[in-house]
Formats: sequence, structure tokens, C-alpha cells
Amino acid sequence: MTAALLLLILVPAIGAAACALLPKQGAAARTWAFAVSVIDLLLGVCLSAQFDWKTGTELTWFGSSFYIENLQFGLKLGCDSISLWLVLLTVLLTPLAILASFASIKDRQKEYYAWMLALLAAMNGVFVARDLLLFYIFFELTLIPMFFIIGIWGGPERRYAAGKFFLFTFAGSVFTLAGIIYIGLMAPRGFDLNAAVQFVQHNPEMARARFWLLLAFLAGFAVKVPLFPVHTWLPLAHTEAPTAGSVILAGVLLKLGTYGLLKLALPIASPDAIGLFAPYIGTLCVIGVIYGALVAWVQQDIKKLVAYSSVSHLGFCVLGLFALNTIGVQGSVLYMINHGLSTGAMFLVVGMIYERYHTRDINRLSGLARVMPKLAFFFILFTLSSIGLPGTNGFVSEFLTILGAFTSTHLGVSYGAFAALGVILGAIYMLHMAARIIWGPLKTPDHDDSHGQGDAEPATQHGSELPTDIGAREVGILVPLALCVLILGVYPNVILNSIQKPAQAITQAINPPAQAVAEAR
Amino acid sequence: MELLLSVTIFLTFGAVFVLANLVLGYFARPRIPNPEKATVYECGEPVIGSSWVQFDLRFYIVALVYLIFDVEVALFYPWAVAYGNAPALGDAIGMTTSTVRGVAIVDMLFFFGVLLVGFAYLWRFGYLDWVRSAATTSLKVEYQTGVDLRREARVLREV
Amino acid sequence: MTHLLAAIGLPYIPGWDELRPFAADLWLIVTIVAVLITPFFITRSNIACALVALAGVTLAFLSQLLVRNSPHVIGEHFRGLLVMDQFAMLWKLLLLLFVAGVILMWFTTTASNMHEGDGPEFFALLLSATLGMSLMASTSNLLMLVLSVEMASLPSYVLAGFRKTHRIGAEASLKYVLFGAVTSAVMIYGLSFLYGLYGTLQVGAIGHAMAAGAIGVGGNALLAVALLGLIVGIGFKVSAVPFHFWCPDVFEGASIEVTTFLSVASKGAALVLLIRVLTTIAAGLGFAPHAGMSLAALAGVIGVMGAVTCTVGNLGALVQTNIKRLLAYSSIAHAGYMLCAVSLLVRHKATIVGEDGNSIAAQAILLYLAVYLFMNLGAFTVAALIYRQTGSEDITHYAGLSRRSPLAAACMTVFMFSLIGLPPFAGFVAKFNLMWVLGTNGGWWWALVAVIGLNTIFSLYYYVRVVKIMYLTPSDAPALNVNPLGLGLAVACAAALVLLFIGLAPLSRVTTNYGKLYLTSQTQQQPAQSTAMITGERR
Repeated sequence: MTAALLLLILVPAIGAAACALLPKQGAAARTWAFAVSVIDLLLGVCLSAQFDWKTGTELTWFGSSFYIENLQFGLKLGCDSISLWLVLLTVLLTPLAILASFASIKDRQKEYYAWMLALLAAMNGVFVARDLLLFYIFFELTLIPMFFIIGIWGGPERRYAAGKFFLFTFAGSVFTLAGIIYIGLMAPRGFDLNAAVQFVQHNPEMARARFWLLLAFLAGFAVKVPLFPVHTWLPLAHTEAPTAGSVILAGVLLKLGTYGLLKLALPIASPDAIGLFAPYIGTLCVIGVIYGALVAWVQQDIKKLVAYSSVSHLGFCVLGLFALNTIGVQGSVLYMINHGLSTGAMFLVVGMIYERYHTRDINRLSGLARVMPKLAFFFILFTLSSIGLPGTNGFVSEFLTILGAFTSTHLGVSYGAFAALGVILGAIYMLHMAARIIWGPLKTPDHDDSHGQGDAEPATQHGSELPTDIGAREVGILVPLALCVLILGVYPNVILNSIQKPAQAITQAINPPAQAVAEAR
Repeated sequence: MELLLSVTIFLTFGAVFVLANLVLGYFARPRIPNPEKATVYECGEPVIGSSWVQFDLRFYIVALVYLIFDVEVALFYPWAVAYGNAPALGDAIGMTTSTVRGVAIVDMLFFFGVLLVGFAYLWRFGYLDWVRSAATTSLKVEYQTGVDLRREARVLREV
Repeated sequence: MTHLLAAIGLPYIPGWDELRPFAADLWLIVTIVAVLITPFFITRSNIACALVALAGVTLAFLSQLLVRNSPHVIGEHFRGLLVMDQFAMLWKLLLLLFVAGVILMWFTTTASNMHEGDGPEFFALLLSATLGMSLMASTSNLLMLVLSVEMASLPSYVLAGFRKTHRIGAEASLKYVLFGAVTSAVMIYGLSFLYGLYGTLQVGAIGHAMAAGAIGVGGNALLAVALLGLIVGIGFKVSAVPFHFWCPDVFEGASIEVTTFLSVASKGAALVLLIRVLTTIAAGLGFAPHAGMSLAALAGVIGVMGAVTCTVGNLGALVQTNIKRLLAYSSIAHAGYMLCAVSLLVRHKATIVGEDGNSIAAQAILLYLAVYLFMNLGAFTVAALIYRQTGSEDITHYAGLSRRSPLAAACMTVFMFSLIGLPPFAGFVAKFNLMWVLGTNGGWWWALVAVIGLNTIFSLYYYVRVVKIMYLTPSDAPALNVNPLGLGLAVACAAALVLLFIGLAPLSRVTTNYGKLYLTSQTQQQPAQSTAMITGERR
């Protein structure tokens, strides 16, 4: 029954191909895409029902007919609890993103929804691949749909944004490919992910190679995350992408980078090389946290602000990983999920505002709570979650990553302290924005004025089509996310407990067991 | 090493031989300048026009056809020899005389046949005509009355 | 008579067993003649000749498929003038498939405006070049090598200038022929040294002779000159740097189906020839570094050449605006990638597995060629279709193509992404396999992997630019009414690329099974007298 792993990828892939058969106009494409993504969500739920949460045994599926002996490459799929949570995040966010595109995507619908489904297939593929080459293939595969989604349906600077996104991420991952080929050649069982990781970890001959392999993997994943010096594609891509694109980009695509770091870079560079790198990566993370927060503070564009907040948040996430202790890694995984939920939700809300007023300028919007109480409620909820208010999901993960940094033998107090500064800054810029948009005197842009922004949409769509406050569809999009935010805020153990074992497995390979025991105490 | 030595000797001797003769000639020859001496040697005939004119391309086609059939005759020779000595050859390689002859004939005819097809093609489609009709040149398709073909043929390349 | 036989050796009469392996080549010869005869009987001969050529190529393809498992096919034939093995067979099949594709492409592009009566010449030349390229794969005799290279080159020169009224075409042809003549001369000069040093024309025997005895210090210098000559001659055909200057000009000047033909067939044939010659020499030497010739140095030269070639190709492509020039530089780059793998062939460890001469480097190059064939055929087909409609080869005129001709744009996108080497297209498989094979050998070959990786990043820019212009640049230009046959061809190529990616396992199996080279073993002695005349052995 583990074929559900394969179906997770196949169903959306076939669904994307089937989009070609749909009529060119009308709602068929969007209904189809939504239906397929919901089926995928159900598959994800099936998978989690099959999963043995107590023992955390990996579910695996192996396509023996598709195996190439001389390359030792095969269709190996599998998932542990970390992968499963991320798959669940993906299959939850995608239907919501598709639902959110119903009103905003008027143009070339068929292609758009086909790309969304293709993207879904590729993202699921990354999380369940248990073969290094397969992992890389899916990792690259996410680029093409996103390139078109940003480039065709994006904002005014979409072409530049799409090109930059593509060039940056691909250039980084070419080095990853070199690393993967090296491992595949050296490891006795070829590209088998778990076996390869075991091999590199335990083989004294690979001591020097571990150093270079870590560099190769960092090149690919750091761009995708993105870490501080290579983050420049992200604000641009987020700002220019259509709402659903931003949601998927922030919610899932960035997690591919952190997932790669967690699943490949960390174990492969254990036990020695990772320790050498941790302080430097940690420094970059802290710089990213503070830099992202400071830049977000001065943004006039809400979407750009949220985008820079992502840079800041992902800094926390990677900091937790490179704390190299169980608490940090657990916090980091939780952070991946939480960031996906809350930032995804933020982009959705911002998209809803944009659909109504055709601007995202903080200076031109004010007092929206007066006309849109429902939207204001969700906006504030997700803002608070993003800040990390206790009771929302963001708090737990932020706390755990910082705690991880404090107690880490590789990082230390100063890293934690500076990262904590980022939390304060986060509160400042988020509340600053929320206060100006939601409260205060009502101010919305005039009709004529809004078209000065170089927006291509015709005037008839402006505001008139949508009711002032959010409707049932939009509430339906936000409610699941809001529920997740609150549930994970008060009961994060549902994730934390299940990921404890894989997290320990990773950290034990880095720290000698005795030390790990002491740490656990 | 031996080889290198012999090559060196060969090269040195070649160079010295040419240069020495040139130098020797320079000192030995009488110098009586005459404008006739600067003209192109045309078997004693006075030269008409420049010798740098472009020859008509049609000469080349004729020359090529001539060359092909010239070489072909040379290649007929081995077959002829094999055909003539078929009994002796057949004994030597264990074949009957008629087989050897048959193979020789078939080989020769195949080679000659391919050449003949090419020749027939040239002949039939006017490549051997000194004045080719418009029907057999490629320029026809672009040709329209009142159109300067040379101008049409010029393609400007973007910089 | 007896003294005559003593002088030249016994005459040699090949039987059907000798001819059967070369059924495909024989069919090509028949087709060339048939194409020339056709206009005698049919007035509108262009289409008829194309059909005859297509039928002939199909027959050749089928006959090659039929004879592939017959007895006595693998091995040396015609006293070592020609060799047939799995490697040559797969190349022949690929070549014939590709030529059939080029002929189909001709129908969609040039058929309607080629002068009536030019068809027979065009196809006779095309098939002659094909015959030469097909023979290039199955020769390890220096005479045959020169003959087949020239047989491939001379028709190519004419084909490059076949658009008789185009000035660029004439320029292209002249550049091509001048460059070709010089490099051919250098190659023949080098090969004459090889003959002079070892007294035989058989490459395998040359390898054995190298292993047998040292040729002195001066001999080493001469050997270096000889091999350099060989590399110059083949480097020109592959368009390896620094012999690549003709490539962009010729590709731009020639008509588009000729460009397509040259981009894959000519380069592929030269690579295949290089593989055979190098491997045969290396096998003769027992894949051991030898006092007479350092195989490591030879591998180094080719490896560096490959690295420089792909870098120059990619950097050159960055600034191109003409699609044909862009694809020309891209083809230089791809030839460079393949050359990198050629450098492996003289290594024993890991590249030659077992006694049957199964070479993973040859396998990787065959796989690359198999994929590259579809990528280039498809990309040029789309370019040709657009050229037929808009009269422009400028990339900027591709703006808004996603609306003007969605299917053509989608196909072009597939080809561009595949040329980059992105999954889920077969280009990824090919490039990955190449890097894998280079990595297998370790050592300084890792540097080549790094170079290929780096070049992939360079190449990203110009391939993605084409996609960006097609999809992301709006345009008011009217919709294109492209030729359905051409579109069908492009779609077939795109589908092939996706299928080859999914069918990675069977593809890899085929190229592995057919990556076998027939190599003369050390113990096998040449029968001295009877082969003296053909092999040119000095007694």
C-alpha cells in the first residue's frame, strides 16, 4: 500500500498532463486542478494513516523495473516523519493556493493550473525521494513550473524576476549535482540515499571528501533557502510572483533547501566537517536574521516586507539546524512547517488585499478593519503567528531554535542572543505594518490612482467584481491555515514528538553519544 | 636518434642546396635588363591582357569530367589484368576461372556504371552545354521580369 | 604472373559474408545512384528524389537492424580495411535515423522553394556525406580513414553553399572548404608520419608496433607530430577549439537542414572516428603508459581540448542573436562535452570493461549523441518553421511565440531545457551520464566534471533567454501558420526527449550493449603477405 508514495507524485503529474485536454476557456481547468490537488491531499492523509507514528519506521516503495544497474540508480521512494510532515504541508498549501487563484488568474488558465499541478508533483517528489539522483531530478524539476508561473502571471518586473530566480537556483544546484555524482560513484550502493549517507559518515577515507561535499551541497541548498549573501533573488521573485506562486514559493520551495540541508548536508558532513562550518553558517544565519528584519522594516510594499521577513525567518530555521543538537533540529523542522503555514497565509491575505485595491503600498492603505473586519481578523492572527506570539505556532519554533543555538556546543550564547534580537525586530516591523494597514483612519486608493502602478489588468476588474470583505471562498482558504496556526501553537508536541527520533539520529552522528546523552539531560 | 639525425641531415642538405644554387646563380649570371624579360612567358606569343583574369567556371567542369575518366581508365587496368590471368589467379586462390572473370566483370561494371550515371546526369541536365539554358539553372526561381538578380542575391548581414 | 602475384599478394575477392555487415552502406550507394537516375523519368524531380532518398535511408536502417545479429558480422572485414562492431552499428542506426529526420525536415522547410531540378544534386550530396560518415565509424585503417573523412567532407562543402544565390552561403562554403583543405592536409601529413614510423596502415598494428619497440627520441617527436596531425584533422570536423572558427559562419550561411545535418552528423561521425582510432591504438598498447608514447599525455591533450571547447562554445553563444549562430556555438559546446569523455578512452581502468571491449566512455558518448540528435533536430526544425513564416532567424522575433504558435514554442522550450540538461528531459540523462563516467575515473577527470558543471551555468543564460523571449516577452505579431508536418516532427522530437528520460533504463541498456568496440587482441597476428597490398605493410 505504500504505492501512495508513488501516487503522490503521479496523480498531479498526470493531472497536469490532462490539463491539455481541457477546454481553453471557462472554469474547467481550475476545477480540475483543485480536484486533483484535493485528491493529493487525501493521498497525503492516507499516507499519514499508514505511517507508524510510534516507531517512526520509514515507509518505502521501490520500482524494481526501473533500475539501472551500472548507475545503481532506481526509483526509490520513502518517507520518515520529517518528510511526511513536509509532504502534508505541501498537499495542504497547494489546494489552498489553487483556490486562491480562482479570482486572480484570468489569463491562460489551462497552462497556469497545469504548471501548479506539475509543481505539486515535483515538490512531493523531493520530499519522498530516497535516491540521491531522484532527489536532484525533482529538486530541479521545481524550477521550470515556477519559472513560468512567475514569468507569465507575475507582476510588472516578472521577466527579470523569473530569470534571476532560475539562474540563481540552477547555478547553485549544479555543484550539488557534482557532489551527488561523487557520492554515487564512491558509495557501494550507488545513489541509495540512506546507504550513501551511512557510507560517507562512517568511512574514514571520506574524511576530506566530507568537507568538499558539504560545500557542494551548501552551494545548492543555501541559494534555495536562501542564506544571507545569496538571498537576492528571493524578494524579487516573491514580490513579482502571483499570489499562489508566492504562497508555494515561501511555503514549500524554500523548505526544499532546508530539507536538503537537514536530510543531506548535515548527515553527510557528520561528524567532523559540519562542526567546522557551523560557526560560519551560524554567523551568516544571524546576519540574515537581523539584515532581513531591518530591510523589512523600511519596506513600503507589503509583499516585499513579507518576503524580507522570510529571509529573516529562514535564518532562524537554518540557525536551528546548525546548532547541531536535537532541540535545535526539532525546532528547525517545526519552523519549516510553521513558516510554511504563517507566511503562506500572509501572502494569501496580502493577495486578497491586492485583488481589491490593486496596490500593496503601506502608505496608500489604512484602516482596513473598518471595511473588512473578517480579513482584518485573519491578517492580525497571521501577523501574530509570524511574530511568534506565545499561543501561536511561531512562538514554539522560534523559541526552540534560539534555545538550540544557546545550548549548542558549536554555536553558543552570542548567536542565540543576536538571533533573539531578530525576534524583537520582527515584532517591530510586522506590527508597524499591521497597525498602519488595519487600524487608523480608512484610506483606500482611488480608481485612477491605482492604475498609475503600471498594472496591466483592465479597469473593469478593479474592485467592482469582489465584495469589500472576504467571501466564503476566501474564508474557506484561510480557516484551515488559521486552525493549524492555533493548534500547533498550543499543542506543538504532535509534531515535536514524532520528529524526535529522526532528529536524534542526525545529531547523534555529529556529537559523540556520551555528549548527546548529557545534552538530552 | 638515428632517425632524427637522418632527418636533420636531409633538411640541412635540402636547404643548403637550394640557397647555394641561388647564391651561385646570383654571382654567376650576366645582368642585361630588358622589359621583355619582365613579361609573362607565353611560348613566344605577345601577351594579351592581364594573366590574373578569372577563368570561366565551365572550364573546370570540363576539366573535372576529363580527369575523372582519365583516372577511371587507369583503374580499369587491374581488372583487365585479373580477367586476362583468370586461370592462374583462380588456381592460386581456389576459384574457378569463370568465377574470377565474373567477379572482375561485375566489379568493373559496377564502378563504371556509377560513373556513367553521373556522366549521364551531367549530359542530360545541361552541365556540359557551353551555354546553359535558363531552364537548367537555379537562378530561375528567383527570376522575375524587372528584378535585378544580383541585387536580390545580395544578403545583408546584421551586425 | 607468378612474380606479379608475389609482388602484390593474392587478389582478394570478398564474399557475401564480407558484404553483409555493410548492407546499410550498400543501400546508401544504391540510393545515391537511384536519386541521380530519378530525374530522367520524373519531371518534377525534387519531391520524388526526396522520397527516393527517404525510402533508401529507411531501407538502409532496416537492413542494418536485420543484419545486426547475423553471424560473422562483428570483426574486421575486407582485410582490416573496415571494422564492424556494435559501436559502429549503433552509430549507423543513429545516423540513418537522423538523416531520415533531416529529409523530413527538408519537406517542411526548403521543399517548396528549392529550384526544380536541384533536388537530385542535393540529395545525392547529402547521402554521399552520410555514406562517408557511416564509414567513418567502421574504419581503423589510415587509408580508409582519410577516404571516409574526405567522403564526408567534400559533399559537406558543397552542401554548405547550396543556396547558390546567397552571398552568405557562398562565404560559408568557401570558409569551410579552405579550413577543411588545410586541416585535411595537416592530417594526411601526420598520418604519413605514422605510416613512416611503423610501416603499416592498420591502426591496430600500429598500436602493437608501438608496444613492441621504442622508436628513439626523434621518433617520439615524429609520433607527436603524427598524432597532432590526426587531432587537427578530426578536431576540425568536431569543431574543437582552436579549429572551430568555421562553425558559426557555416551554420549561419548554410540552409537550415544542412546546418542541422552538419551539427549532429558531421560532429558525431568525427567523434566516433576519434574514439575508434584512439581506442585501437590504446588497446594495442595494452592501455599502459608506454615509453614510445605517453597515453596519459594524449588523454590530457584531448581533455584540455574538450574543456576549452565547451567553454569557448558557451561563452561565444552568450552574445548571439541569430538562432542558427546560437545553436552553432551551442553545438561547439556540446562537442566539447563529448570530447571530454573521449579523453577517457585511452585509460584502461574502468573505461574498458572485460575482454569484449565494452567501453563505458564510448557508451556515454553514444548515449549523448542519441539524445543530442533529437535535441538539435527539433530545435532546428522549430527555427526553420519560424524562419519560413517570418523570414527571420533573429531571436528577438520569437517574442510572444507562446501565443502565436503555442505548440512550436512548447517544443522549443523542451529542446532548450534539454540542451541545458534539465530534468525531466533526456538532455539531463546524457549530461549526467557523461559526468558520471568522467567521475568514475577520478583523478584530474574531476576537473572536467567541474568544467562541464560550470559550463552548464554559462549555457543556462542563453538557452533560458530564448525561452524567456518566447514566453515572457509580449508581442502583437500575428499568429503563425506553421507547417503541420514540421510541427509534427518537432513534437515527435520533444516527445522522444521526454520518453528517453523516462526510458532511461532501456536507453542505458541499449547503449551499454552497443558500446562495444571490436579491438584486435595482442596475440592476433596479421597474415603478413596476403594483406600486404591493402594494409600497406612494408616488407
